[in-house]
Amino acid sequence: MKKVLNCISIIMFFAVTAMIGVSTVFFQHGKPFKKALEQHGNVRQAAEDYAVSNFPFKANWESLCARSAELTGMRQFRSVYHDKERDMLVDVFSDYDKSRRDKNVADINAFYKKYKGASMYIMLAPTASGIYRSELPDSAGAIDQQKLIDDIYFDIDEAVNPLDVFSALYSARDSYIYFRTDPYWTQAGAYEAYSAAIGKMGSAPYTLANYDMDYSHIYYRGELSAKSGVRRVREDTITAYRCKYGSYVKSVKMLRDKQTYSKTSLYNSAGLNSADKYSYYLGASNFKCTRVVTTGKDLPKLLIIKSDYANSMIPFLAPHYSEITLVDPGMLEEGEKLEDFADPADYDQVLFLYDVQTFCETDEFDNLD
Amino acid sequence: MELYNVLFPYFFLPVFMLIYALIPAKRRPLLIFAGNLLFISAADWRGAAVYFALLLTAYFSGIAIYNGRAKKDGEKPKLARRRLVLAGNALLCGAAFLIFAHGGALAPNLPYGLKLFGAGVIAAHIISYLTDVYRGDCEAQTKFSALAAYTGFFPSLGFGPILKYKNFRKTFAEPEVTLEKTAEGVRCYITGLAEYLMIAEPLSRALEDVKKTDFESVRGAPAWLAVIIFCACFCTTLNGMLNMGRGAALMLGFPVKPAFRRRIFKDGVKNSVREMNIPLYEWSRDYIATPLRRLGGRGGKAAACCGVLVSVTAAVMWYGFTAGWLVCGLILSAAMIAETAGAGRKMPKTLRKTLSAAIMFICGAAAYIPQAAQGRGLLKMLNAPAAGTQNGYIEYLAGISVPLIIMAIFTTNSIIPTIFKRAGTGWYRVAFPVIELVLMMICTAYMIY
Repeated sequence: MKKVLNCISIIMFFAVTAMIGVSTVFFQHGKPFKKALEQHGNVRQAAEDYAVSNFPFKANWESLCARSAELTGMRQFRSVYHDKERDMLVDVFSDYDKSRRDKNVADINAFYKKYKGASMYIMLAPTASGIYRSELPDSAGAIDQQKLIDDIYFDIDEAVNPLDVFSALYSARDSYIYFRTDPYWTQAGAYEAYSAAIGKMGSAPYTLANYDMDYSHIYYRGELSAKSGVRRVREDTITAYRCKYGSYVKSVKMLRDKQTYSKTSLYNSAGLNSADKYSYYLGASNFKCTRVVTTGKDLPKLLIIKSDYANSMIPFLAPHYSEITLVDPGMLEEGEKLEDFADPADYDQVLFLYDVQTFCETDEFDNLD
Repeated sequence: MELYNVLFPYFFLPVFMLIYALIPAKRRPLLIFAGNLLFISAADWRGAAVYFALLLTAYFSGIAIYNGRAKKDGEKPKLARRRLVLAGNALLCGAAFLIFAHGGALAPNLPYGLKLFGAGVIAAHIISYLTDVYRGDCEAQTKFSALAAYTGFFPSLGFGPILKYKNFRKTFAEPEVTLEKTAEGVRCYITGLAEYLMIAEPLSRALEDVKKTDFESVRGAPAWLAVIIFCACFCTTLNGMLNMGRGAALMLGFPVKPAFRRRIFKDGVKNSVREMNIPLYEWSRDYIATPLRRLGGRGGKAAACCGVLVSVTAAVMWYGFTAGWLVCGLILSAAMIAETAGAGRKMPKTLRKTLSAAIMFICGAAAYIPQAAQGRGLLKMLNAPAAGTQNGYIEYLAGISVPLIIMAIFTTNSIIPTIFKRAGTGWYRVAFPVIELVLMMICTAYMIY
């Protein structure tokens, strides 16, 4: 009996390990070994990276690990913290390159000096890590984003109008203003920021009574859930705020890979069936330039230089402008500049709309000039 | 490459064992040597050159020591030469240990960041081999591959267990694989892997958490809890690594005995130290304490105390090169000397066990607190802070560590084996393969993450 059990143990162990090893080497679908070697420059680390990225059913293993670790009390998974009280995943923003941040500030100041004609604004939105910082453990090292945003606003040229949205978002922190499993704000969060900022841009905000909430009935777990492996968190849902009095939007034209895509809605239904549900707002995030033309005739024109956070705010801004052009500097190719797509001199207002984490990490502002 | 790295069980082990099982027993030392070189080169290929140099020195030194013995009656052994060669190698190995162990902690400015993986085990094995040859316990090994397989034995390279040469010299010449040893090896390896990945690693992350937290939040109760976390982390790391090493060695056909005894309350400090890492204890006793005692004369109490002090402190430094570990070693040595001195006196067993547990806890605090406090004030760290300065950190720390501490208590002592033994039947053995498979799946998840 003991011999039989020993045989079973040995066969099971080596059969499973050999099968998985063979599957990883011969049925690879992840990072090729050459790429791993270029990345690490060290054979052992490259082999480890290759093995892990090509491991069969990797997402399932990660989920098993996260579940097992949660049972033993673990809360932080890579840079994602599972806030059990709020039942949400928070991508902790704990570190950034100060020299890059300073360079981005200098680039914006230089941009302002070049295009002094237009009224210029900057909105730095805090991420969930900033709003819920007091609920994260000290050891997570979450940056004080309120102070960071204030410091950046202090360094920006005083003629560029800073738009403070931190307080408005902090006051609404108990509402569903950030996705639970995605690193973005919800459209409710975008509305709070719009409401706080639009007054300084020369208009009065339209209240929520002017909008119908359109529930998509799509429930999903997003990027943070995949990154951390944590599945035991409430699903997110996508909602759309639609104006009760009809759409202001005449046309939406999006440019990518020298092709222009046209539609008449700010919402992209195809996004609800894709892995990136946030692309429901305005479409995929890899468009270089998006031009929204509205029915408003004598309204000002707005140029937004943006990160993905801006996409869900456009339905609220649309009634205030005759044209809104959005340019993502990160999508511009080498040699392309902002002026190839939109001349800031043609616009009444220019708005830099970023989440503070992307602002501190991006190196895209070189493409502005 | 470590034994808990995903490359070992899924890529290296199946291929290695397949070749190992197919080749004749006489050729296996050569394959083990190739495995040793792979493990050492994986950390730093230049370390393999250092290892090779140490190996060649040991090989020729062993032959020189053996040839210097008295071969015929009346012939005088070449004592001076034998002692010189042995002492020279001991110094060389000691230097290799101090320079390369713990990632070169004592010598951070090594040229080009040179590393030698397993420097501690290599040094220990070479000293064991040469000393056993010197004492006449065995002949010098003329088969280079057998000596090479022993000195850098890859299952032991990470953390042990240290193997005494005289106990394994025949096995290293011709290792034999059996069903029973391989099955036990698989069981041992998986148990060690589970202990390390599921308990020790998360506990070490909890300690990292403490390091990153504001000092005022950590003072007082959280600091004491951190000491308990450190002790649990240390025990499970040790058990896990020794089990993995033993498991891999058993799979290769080496009948390595259990390297620790699972008992939460040990009978005396000496037993606590011994049973925590039996091979290391026996190695330091046989190759440091005994020679020192003999130098001072067999009856010399001072020499015996010196032997205990040096051997225990050296053994403790195996775990870390910090002032805290040094203090820990000194406390343990003092406790062991006091225990030996008071051996004739009667003491209730409960009191003795409680005292030894308390001394081990104090040693854990001595090893951990200095590195955690990082110059912010040792005593201040252990004292409760003024009211209102802490922000509920103790609840958070308890939340991420108490379940793991409870798991550590169950795995580092004999509760589970005792339950199985008292169950009376062998029914649970049927479940072992399934339990092993489930544990392996969970460990894989931890390795991939």
